[in-house]
Amino acid sequence: MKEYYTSHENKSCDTNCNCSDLPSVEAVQETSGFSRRSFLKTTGFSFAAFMVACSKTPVQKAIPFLIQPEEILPGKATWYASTSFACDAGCGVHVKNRDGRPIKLEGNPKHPMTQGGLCAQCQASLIELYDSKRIIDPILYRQSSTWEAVDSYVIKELRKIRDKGKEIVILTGTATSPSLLYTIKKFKKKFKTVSHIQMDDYSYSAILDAHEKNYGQRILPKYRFDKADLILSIDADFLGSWVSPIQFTKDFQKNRKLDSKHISKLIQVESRMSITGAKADERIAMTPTEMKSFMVDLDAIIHGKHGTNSHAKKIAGLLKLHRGNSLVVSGINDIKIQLIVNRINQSLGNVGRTLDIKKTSQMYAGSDSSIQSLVTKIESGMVGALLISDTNPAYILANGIDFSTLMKQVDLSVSFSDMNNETTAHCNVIAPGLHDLESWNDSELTSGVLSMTQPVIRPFGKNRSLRQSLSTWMGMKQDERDLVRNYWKKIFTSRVKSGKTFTRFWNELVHDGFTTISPNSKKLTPFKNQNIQIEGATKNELELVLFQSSQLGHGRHAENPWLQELPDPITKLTWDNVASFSPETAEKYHLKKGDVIEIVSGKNKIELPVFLQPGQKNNTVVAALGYGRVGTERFHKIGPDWLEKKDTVKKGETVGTSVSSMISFDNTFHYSGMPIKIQKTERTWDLALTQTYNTLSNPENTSPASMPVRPFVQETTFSEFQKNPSAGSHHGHPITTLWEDDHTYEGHHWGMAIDLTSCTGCSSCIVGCQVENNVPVVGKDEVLRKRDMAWLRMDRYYSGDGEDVDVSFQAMMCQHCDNAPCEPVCPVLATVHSSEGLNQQVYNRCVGTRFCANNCPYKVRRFNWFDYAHEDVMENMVLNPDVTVRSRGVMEKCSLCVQRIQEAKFEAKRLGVPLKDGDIKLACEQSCPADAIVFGDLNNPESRISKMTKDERHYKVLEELNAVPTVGYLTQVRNRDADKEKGGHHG
Amino acid sequence: MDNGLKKQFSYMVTMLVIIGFVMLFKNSTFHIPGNQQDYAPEQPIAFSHQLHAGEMEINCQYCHFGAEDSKHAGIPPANVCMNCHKYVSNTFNETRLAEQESRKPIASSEIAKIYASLGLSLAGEKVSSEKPTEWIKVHNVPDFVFFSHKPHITAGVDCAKCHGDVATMTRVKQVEDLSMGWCLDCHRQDHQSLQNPAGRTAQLQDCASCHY
Repeated sequence: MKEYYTSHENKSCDTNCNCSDLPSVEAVQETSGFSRRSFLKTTGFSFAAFMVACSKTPVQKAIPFLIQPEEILPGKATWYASTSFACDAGCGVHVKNRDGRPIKLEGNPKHPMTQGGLCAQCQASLIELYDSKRIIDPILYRQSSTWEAVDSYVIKELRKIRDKGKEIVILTGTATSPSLLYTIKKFKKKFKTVSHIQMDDYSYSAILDAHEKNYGQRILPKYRFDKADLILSIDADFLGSWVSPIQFTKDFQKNRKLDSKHISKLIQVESRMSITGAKADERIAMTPTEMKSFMVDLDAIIHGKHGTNSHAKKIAGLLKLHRGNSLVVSGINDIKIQLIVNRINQSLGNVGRTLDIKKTSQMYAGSDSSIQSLVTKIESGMVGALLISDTNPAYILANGIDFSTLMKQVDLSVSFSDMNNETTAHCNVIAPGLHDLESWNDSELTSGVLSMTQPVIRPFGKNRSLRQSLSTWMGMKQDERDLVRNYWKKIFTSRVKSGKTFTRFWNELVHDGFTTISPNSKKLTPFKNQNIQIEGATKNELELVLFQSSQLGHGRHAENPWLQELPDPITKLTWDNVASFSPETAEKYHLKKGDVIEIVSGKNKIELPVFLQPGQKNNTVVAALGYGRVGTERFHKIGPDWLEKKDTVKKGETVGTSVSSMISFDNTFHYSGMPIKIQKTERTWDLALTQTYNTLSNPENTSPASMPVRPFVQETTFSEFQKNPSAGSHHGHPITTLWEDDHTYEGHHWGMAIDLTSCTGCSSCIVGCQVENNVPVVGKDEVLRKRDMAWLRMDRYYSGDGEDVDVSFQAMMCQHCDNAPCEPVCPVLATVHSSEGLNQQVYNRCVGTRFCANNCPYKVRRFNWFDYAHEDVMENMVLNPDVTVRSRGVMEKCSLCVQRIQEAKFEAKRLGVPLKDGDIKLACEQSCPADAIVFGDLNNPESRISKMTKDERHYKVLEELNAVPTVGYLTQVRNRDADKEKGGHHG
Repeated sequence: MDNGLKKQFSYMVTMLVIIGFVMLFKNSTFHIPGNQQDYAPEQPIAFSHQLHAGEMEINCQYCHFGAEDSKHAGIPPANVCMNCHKYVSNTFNETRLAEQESRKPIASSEIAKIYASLGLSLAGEKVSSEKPTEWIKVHNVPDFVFFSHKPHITAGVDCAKCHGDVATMTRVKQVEDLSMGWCLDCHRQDHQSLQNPAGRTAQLQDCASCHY
């Protein structure tokens, strides 16, 4: 073939050579030297290498004390005894201080009333100390001011009012402080026309008024649930929120010891489903109207007369068998009902045995009628000054009392609140008071027991207690401590008969947090029977029942994020309140969960989303008090900030809806029985529930033949238990095992057991864990996405249907399985098994694969999807310095409070003594008022946990999976007849 | 691969190797991030351990008394310094010289700093507001490590084992790298004694001993 060529130069080149006109690639590169691309590559790489090599860790400073007190060591906690008033029951606490600030509250085990328990509200009240929205300066006419200015203004105004002859009203919550009452007495002497009115957030006035009619004095008896073998409670949630739930839980447990011949029986009559109803051996659902006629019949039958109510007949029979060791209580704030209760208790001989009227409870002394007279006085212009402390009347007061308008008629209105609320918005002066943890306070909550509150941190601002403000306005200048101390110095010989010196008395009081003094019993007349006429009730189509939320009280803790996110023990609802209906009633009105309805009572209207509550009485609507509080708009932005974020509350809106306008008032506050009408709106509302499965039944088409109900919660009755202690226990049998038992626990082997018989579901353990372990708050949207962060959850299961429903609680946390399914799947070995039995989570190693959470059959692992905000520097002071704060991308879960285990081990080593059983108390264990959680060393045969593990009632959840959990549960035993068992939930 | 790329590649490899070598060198100025070995920052008061712990043989735990009962050994508060320095405000030499020369001794400027932190003049009068001394912490472990002095002191670990021979240091220097591997070197050793019953050594190697 002929060869063609384009030019002479190319003639000699091969047909394969590149004869094009384009320059070759190499030529370009060679002429330009170092290319731009490679320059950038090299610079970038060198820069990175340089930075990596030369980076320095930031400078850390250590700033010691100038003069260090002997007892204080940085890094070591100091403990102080005090009293916490998150609710007015006043629990004795031990406050853990690190570096001069309190980081944990624990129950004071020696306190005679609360005996070491602490409720969720007290545990969480700690974060309210570190609230950056607290008022820390006195405020005069909405402007920040100084104490000099405020004091001179107030004194001037008070004198003017006194000279005009108008009244100065001091409106407080129940004042249990003898020194405060003394200060008010002196204030009265100075300003003449002074009256002191006490108002409780939730009124117990009927009980006090009834006792006045029967015994001559307004008293609240001290109920002795430990002495009662039969308890009949008519709408009194005494284990959850009535009067003093921690004390009552502790006492109630004392008479539920399964190793004794008999245990107490609790019969609960209520409309809504409460914790006490859940714990009850027998629960009878009734509407408020039905409860009234039940009481009338019960009263009649016990006194030998005729009554038609079948329940009344049966219960009257039981009560008569328990003369002297039964207890009838009622939470209905109606004097007629309370008179009936008193009469029944008197006839049964319970007075002085299961309820003490000599050494009485002094925590609640509010009088409803005094509120009415106050309102009348204000309306007639007789009141010149209102000094409001420890109460929020503009929010709490009922239908018909527009307190905010009333306040405008008063010349001087002073609030002692340290948070902005509905009442402070209408006050001319705010003289901010101290948080419990910053104040000196004496309180006689029960006659004969004096509880002490001491400050554990210097006040953040210029706050001053009510006692000191009043003293200053009287012209007395004394500091906080002296005001309390000098009072006791003066009078202590009248209350302390032992011959102790005052210094000894005072030091013991402050050190222990309490002391016994001689009781101040009032002179009572013998029982005076009263004629009680109760009109026949009209049958209402729908009745409203309002109750105190066990997390927020009556709104007091609405600005506490921990409590807002704490799921309600029964509904498991967070960040909202709802109108609960029984499923049957909801169907009648064609309502679904989440439908927003309008509730109308007289002239008042509110809107609430619907919730279906198994076990609730038909034709009742139940709603929680305490929501819709001013100040909760701050939760608009709570939670992680990301692309698809939905706000917890819309801007300017409050969390939940206030139902206070629905409280009816006719000289008495009525919280239940109000007839209402409902109207459906077109809207729906998302409800952030942490538990959306309510039953343990397997779906019919998928359940194995032998297991229609999953045996997570196991129950039996007391009579069956006595015959056979392992009654009701179901043990799963692992089919095969691939694992060698290579966990030889030579040293300690930590284990835990939870007694379902004791657990009341109060959820104080959840908050205790949150405080101790720096668990973040995630906001409503994240809870809706099932990303709540609580390490411990309180599962609540229903069994039975209609109004006859049983509730069981189970606290579920990491089970620390020996054959943990989460351990082998971690690609970086961030979760491994310790040589002492704990499943460890190493936060710094975790890369966030989330395979472990996927594998966990108990679903107890929590992933940090975001960096949960810790920008509030003041709030960060509540963090526990012993526990890592986890960042985004890290898995966390219950660690069995390993920081507490380590601390106890170090201390035992230092002292050279072996670790004793009970030396280590986990946060949840310590907090539980029912002592349901037990932790200890399984390798110690004498420890409580070893004994509990060998108990016949001991079982483990999902045993058949062969995960070999270290956390066990003890079968729940109810004191009822065997044939009443519902739901068939033991395998 | 053509020449240009080969050049880049070899350049990068060389860089890597150099940096690698440099990082491995314990005593060089380049470190893995977080490693503060040989860190010897200048302190606000030029306190000399060589004088106090070395020459005067003051026990470590006289000043760092927190070590026995707390996670932090603690830097002594000013009142501990003043136990002696209330009476001693100049150096040995200066006292001797001043006597020889029959003059008042000149106070040490460093000791004067303690007085200043308490707001006191050298004569002991309050002349200014208090300003606590801001010492620079030399030995730091990351936040996700829980280190406590207490069990180590109880176990009888000598201060010098981790902190080096502080009694010879004029300015405190971190001599060990305080890495986890270095900690485990000791935790892995089997110290069978009364203090260390069965299972203890295994327990010391648990992640949760330090990471929680």
